[in-house]
Amino acid sequence: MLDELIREIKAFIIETLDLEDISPDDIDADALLFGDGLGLDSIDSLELGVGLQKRYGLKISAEDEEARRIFSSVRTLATYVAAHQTV
Amino acid sequence: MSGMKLRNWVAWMPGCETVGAWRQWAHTGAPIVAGAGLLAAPPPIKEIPPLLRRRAAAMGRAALHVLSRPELPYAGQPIVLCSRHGEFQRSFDLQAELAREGRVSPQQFGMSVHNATGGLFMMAQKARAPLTALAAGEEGALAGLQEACAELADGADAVWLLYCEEPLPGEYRQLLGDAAVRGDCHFAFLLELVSGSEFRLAPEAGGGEGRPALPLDLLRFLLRVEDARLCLSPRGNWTLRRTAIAGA
Repeated sequence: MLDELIREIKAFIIETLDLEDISPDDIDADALLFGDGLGLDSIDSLELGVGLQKRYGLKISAEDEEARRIFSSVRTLATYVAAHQTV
Repeated sequence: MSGMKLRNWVAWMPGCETVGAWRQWAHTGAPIVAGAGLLAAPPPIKEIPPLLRRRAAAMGRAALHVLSRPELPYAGQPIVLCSRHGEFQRSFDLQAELAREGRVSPQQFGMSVHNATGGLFMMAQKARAPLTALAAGEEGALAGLQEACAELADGADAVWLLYCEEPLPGEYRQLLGDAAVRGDCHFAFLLELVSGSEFRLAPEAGGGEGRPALPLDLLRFLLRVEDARLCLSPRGNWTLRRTAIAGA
């Protein structure tokens, strides 16, 4: 179940952020999304926040102390979505 | 009065991608929009890292393409980016998104400022040189040259002057007359200018009439050594005069 959502989240990230030349298989579910891992930046985090709201009805505030942990990797994001998605 | 020399240039337009093709374009008197198909695919920009180039739209891709040619490596010069409309399709889509959904994409919003394309190149280069982005209406060709001259006068050894445009969204196209006047075809070209006596930019009495010179008019003039002068703007008679043969 979580594996399926992980695949979906990878595709969601690629589509939302226009990640050229990257396929879902290129993204390690446990790698860092920001900084040294996939290399996303702060604008990407805002874009993902807007996308999560549209796609899953989730609102994660940038000030939320949990945000850093939730956006840590594809796996942490998928776990959060599985527990909280409203649509 | 300002003197300068064209040390190098690179240009891209759909269907016009080599030096030979551009020289032919300049000398056959082809229309200014020759080959500038509205739906042409943007050029490849493999030199720019994927995480940066994904953010460039049609104009940005053309601009990054000419900025990244291996035959003209970047050496930290100040860059003057000159575009009348910028990536206007992006701004238009943002407005539509705002009206439809009440919110906009942060990524698209972040890229909708006029200097964003130059910023992508500077980030790719990890460069900290001055970057100026100009939108000067019909007088963009003149404004770009004036800014480039100012950089040279301020002590820069060389300056990169980039002109770029993408087609306007259809909803706007009809408001601005024909394509040659709108200057909204899809192109980018880069001039590497240094101080010198090949060209002189100055107001000249009885400079000219008609419309201001567009960026592609300027490129054509630069490539046609038989042309002695180009009136850049009838207002103020700003004229670019060829004062010596290149390489002489």
